[in-house]
Amino acid sequence: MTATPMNPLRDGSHSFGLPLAGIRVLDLTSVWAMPYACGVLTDLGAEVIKIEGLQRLDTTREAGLYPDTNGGFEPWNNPGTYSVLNRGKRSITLNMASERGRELFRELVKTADIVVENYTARVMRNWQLDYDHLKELRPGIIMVSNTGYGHGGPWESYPVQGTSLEATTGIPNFSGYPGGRPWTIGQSYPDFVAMWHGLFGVMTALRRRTLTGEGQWIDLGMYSANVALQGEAMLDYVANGRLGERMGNRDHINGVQGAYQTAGDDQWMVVAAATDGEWLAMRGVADASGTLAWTGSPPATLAEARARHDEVDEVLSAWAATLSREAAVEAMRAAGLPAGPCNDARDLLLDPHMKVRGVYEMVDHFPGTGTGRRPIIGRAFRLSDEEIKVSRPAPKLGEANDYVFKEILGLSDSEFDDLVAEKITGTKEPLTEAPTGLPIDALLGVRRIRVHDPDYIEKLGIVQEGATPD
Amino acid sequence: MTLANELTSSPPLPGPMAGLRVLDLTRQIAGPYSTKLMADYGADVIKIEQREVGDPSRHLPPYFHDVVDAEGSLHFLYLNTSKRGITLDLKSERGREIFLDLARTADVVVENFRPGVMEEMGIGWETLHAINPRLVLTSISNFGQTGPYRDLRASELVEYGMSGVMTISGREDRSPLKHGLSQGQYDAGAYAAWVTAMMLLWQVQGREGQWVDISIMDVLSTTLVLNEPYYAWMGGIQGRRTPAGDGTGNGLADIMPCADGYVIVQHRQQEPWANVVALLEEPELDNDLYTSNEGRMLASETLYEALKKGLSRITKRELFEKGAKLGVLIGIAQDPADILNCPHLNARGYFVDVDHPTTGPMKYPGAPVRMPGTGWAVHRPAPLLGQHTDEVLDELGISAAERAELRAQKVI
Repeated sequence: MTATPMNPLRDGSHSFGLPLAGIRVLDLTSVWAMPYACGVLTDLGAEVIKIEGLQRLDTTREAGLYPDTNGGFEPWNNPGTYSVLNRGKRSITLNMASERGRELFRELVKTADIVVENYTARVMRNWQLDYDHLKELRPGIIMVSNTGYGHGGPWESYPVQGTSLEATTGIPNFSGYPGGRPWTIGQSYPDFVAMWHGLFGVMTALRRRTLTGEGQWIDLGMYSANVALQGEAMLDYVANGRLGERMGNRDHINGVQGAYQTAGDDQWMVVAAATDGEWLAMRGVADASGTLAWTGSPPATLAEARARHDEVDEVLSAWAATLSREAAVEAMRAAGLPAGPCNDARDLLLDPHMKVRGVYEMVDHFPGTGTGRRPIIGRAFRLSDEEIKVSRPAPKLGEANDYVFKEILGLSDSEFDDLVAEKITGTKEPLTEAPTGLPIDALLGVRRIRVHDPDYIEKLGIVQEGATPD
Repeated sequence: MTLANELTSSPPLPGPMAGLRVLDLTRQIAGPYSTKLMADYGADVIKIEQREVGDPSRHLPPYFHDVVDAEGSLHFLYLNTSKRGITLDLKSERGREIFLDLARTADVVVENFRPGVMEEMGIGWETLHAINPRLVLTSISNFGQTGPYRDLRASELVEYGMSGVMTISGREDRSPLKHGLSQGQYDAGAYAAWVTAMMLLWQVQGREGQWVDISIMDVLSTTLVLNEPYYAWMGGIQGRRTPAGDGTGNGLADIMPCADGYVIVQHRQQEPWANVVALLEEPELDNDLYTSNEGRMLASETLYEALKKGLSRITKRELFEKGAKLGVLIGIAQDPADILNCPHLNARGYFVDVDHPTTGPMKYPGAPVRMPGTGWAVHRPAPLLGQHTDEVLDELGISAAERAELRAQKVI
C-alpha cells in the first residue's frame, strides 16, 4: 500500500497548487447533494474516488437524460445530471454490502483524508464504519454524514430525498400563489442548502486539521440546515405568533413587485419598486405606454401602490403584454428600476454575463460516452488570482478500478481477478442495444420539457463525439 | 444523559473557526448570514455599522411584538448573533484609518456593497491586500464584480427571475414563482461562507489572500442541475407545471392535500409501486399502468385522482410515520409552529435560547450543521448599535480620551 502523509501540506513542500491538492476523498454518495459537493471538491484539486456497487449504481446514472435521448451502449456513463454533478472524479465499483468489500474500503480509508457518505444513519454504524471506527483506522480523518434529519432523534433513519423534504423544512409554507397550496420551488432545493453547509464544514475541518492534526465528524442533517434559512419567520412565530403566509412574488420587506408576461411565447419579466420615487418611476413607464386603466387616481405613494397591489399588477400586466421581454426590461431599467428577464435554460447558457463569469464550462467528455464536448455548470464564485476550472469529465463506471485496487491498495492481478469473480468489483458489460429515454415528442407531450430547440448544438458550440473539434 | 444533552455542547466549546478575526461590513441578509455562520462557529466577527442608522436590516420587519425599533428587528437579531458591533464613519479619513488598522489584525473582510463602493471609500482590494497580504476579502453582490450586468440594480425577485429558477416554478398557466422569504439571500450567504472557509484553508497553508467574488444570480443558477443539462444534452427547455392536479401532474413528488394539511409522496424509480399502494390502501392505485415511470407519466390523470382519494383519508403525521416504515419518501408541509414543536428537532436540542435586551430569552434555530467536539453556539446576542465600539477600539490601543474626541467628531 502506498503510504500517504497525513497532511501533505505540513511536510515542508509549500507548493501552492489548488487548495485541496493532495487531499483524497472517498465518495460513497448518491443522488444530488453530496455528489455535487464532491464534484466541486475535484475542481479545487481533491482526488475524489466515487465508490458504487455494481448492483447499486448512483441513481443519477439511471435517470435518462441522455445526449439527444440516445443512451448508447453504456447508458450509465452519459446522463446529463450525472455528468454535471460528478465531474472530475475517479470511479470504482466496490460492493459495500460484502465483508470483503468493506475490508477493502477500510484499507482505502487508511490512505484518505475525507470520507463522504449519505446512507441512512444506521448503515455506517452497522458496518462499524462510523466516525469512531474510521478515526481508529486513520487518525485525522474528516467524515461527512449527510442524512435528511441528522444523526440522533426519532426520525434519524427515515428515508429522505430533497424533493419531498422541502415540504418538511417549512419553506413551502411561505412559497406559492396567494391563498393556494404550498409550493416547492426550483429543483430539490434542500440538496443545495445541504451542499453549501457541508462544504463549509469540510473547509473549516480541513483548516483545523492543518493546525491541530485533529479530524472531525460532520453531521449534516438537511432539515436542520434548511430551518436555519428562515430565522426571521421562526422568530416572528416565537415573538408574535405569526404563522406566515403565501404571497406569490410579493413579500413583507420590499415594496411593489411582480412577474409580468410580455409578448412572445411564455416570456416574463420581473420588476420591483422599493421607494416612493421608484414607484412613481414605475408608474411613469406604464403611463407612457398609454395602456393603463386606473380606477380613479393612480396611487401616488409606494404605500398606496402596495395597498392597491392587485390593481398595480393589472396595469403592469397590460403594459408588459404590448412589449417584447427585452423592451419591457429595458424601459424599466432606463427608469432606474431593478428589472430583469425571467430566464430559461437556453437564455442562461447563451447569456453574455454568465459567459464572462465562467458559470458554465465546456467539458470534453470521455470517448465512448457519446457525450462529446458540452457545457456543464461550474461554480458560483471567482477569485482574483486563480482561475478554478473543472479538471476532468465525469468518470466512466469503474475506470479507476486498476488504479485504486492495484496501485493504491497494491493488490496483485490475480487477487484483483478474484474480486471480479466474486463480484466485489468489476465492470458492467456494454449493452447490445442502445436504450433511448423518452423521445422528444413524448417529453413535450408530458410537459417534461416545454419547447425543443433542434439548433441547440450549433448555438452552444457542442462538438459531438467523433467530430473534429475546431 | 438525554439525547438533547448528548447532541448539544454545554458549556459551548470553541468553534472550528475560533481564533479567526472577521471584519464584517455586510448589511441586509446575504452578507450577515455568511458572517453569522462564521461567528456561531467561533470566529471573532466585528460588525461595522454606520453611525446612528446602522445596518438597514435593523429597519426591516418583522419586529419583536411588532414594535418598530432599531433594536427589535427579528431579521437583524437572528442574522447577527455572536458578533461584536461597532459604529464607524468609513467616509471620514480617521474612520478609514481605524478600519485599516483593524484590517491589519484581521483574517477576513466580508462586504456586500454595490461593486465599486469599497474602492470609492479607499478600502478596496488593492489597498487591503497591500496592508495585509494574507487577508481574504469576500464580496457578495447581485451579479458579481465582473461582467456586463455588474452595475445593474437588483432585488431578490430580480435575482430569482434572472437566475432561471422562476421559469420552472409554478403553474404554466400562471406566473413564474420565487421561493418565499429571502432564500436567495441566505443561499448566497451560505455559499460565501464556504468559499471563504476554503480561502482560510489556503491561508493557513501560507498562501496570500485573494479577493472572492460571489454573485447571488450565479448561486441560484447553479442549483438547476436538471434544467441545464435538459438544454445542453438534448435542446429541451423546461417550463412550469401543467395545470393538471393544480400543478402536481400525476400528484407524485409534489405538494398535495391530505386529511389535515399538505404532503408530498415521492416514489423512487427503483422502489416497488406496491409500497405506495400499501401506504395509501387505495384500490384504484393498484393498477399495472402505474408501475413504471413512463406509465405514470402517461396515465397521470387517473393516477392523480386515485392518489388524492387515498390521501384524503390520512393525516400528515400518520402518512409520515407509515411512509417511514414502508420506505416511501414523504414530506409534510410544516409551518413555524410545527417546526418549533417538532419532536425530532427538540430531541436533538436544535433550538437555542438567546437572551437579547429587547426580547429577553427567546428560541432561535440552532446549528445548521453539527460538528461534534468543536461546537456551534450563539456566543452572544446580536449587538446593540455601537455596543462594542469602546471595547474594540480599546483593544486597538485607542485611549478613552481619543475615543471621546472621535465621538465628538462623529467618527464613531
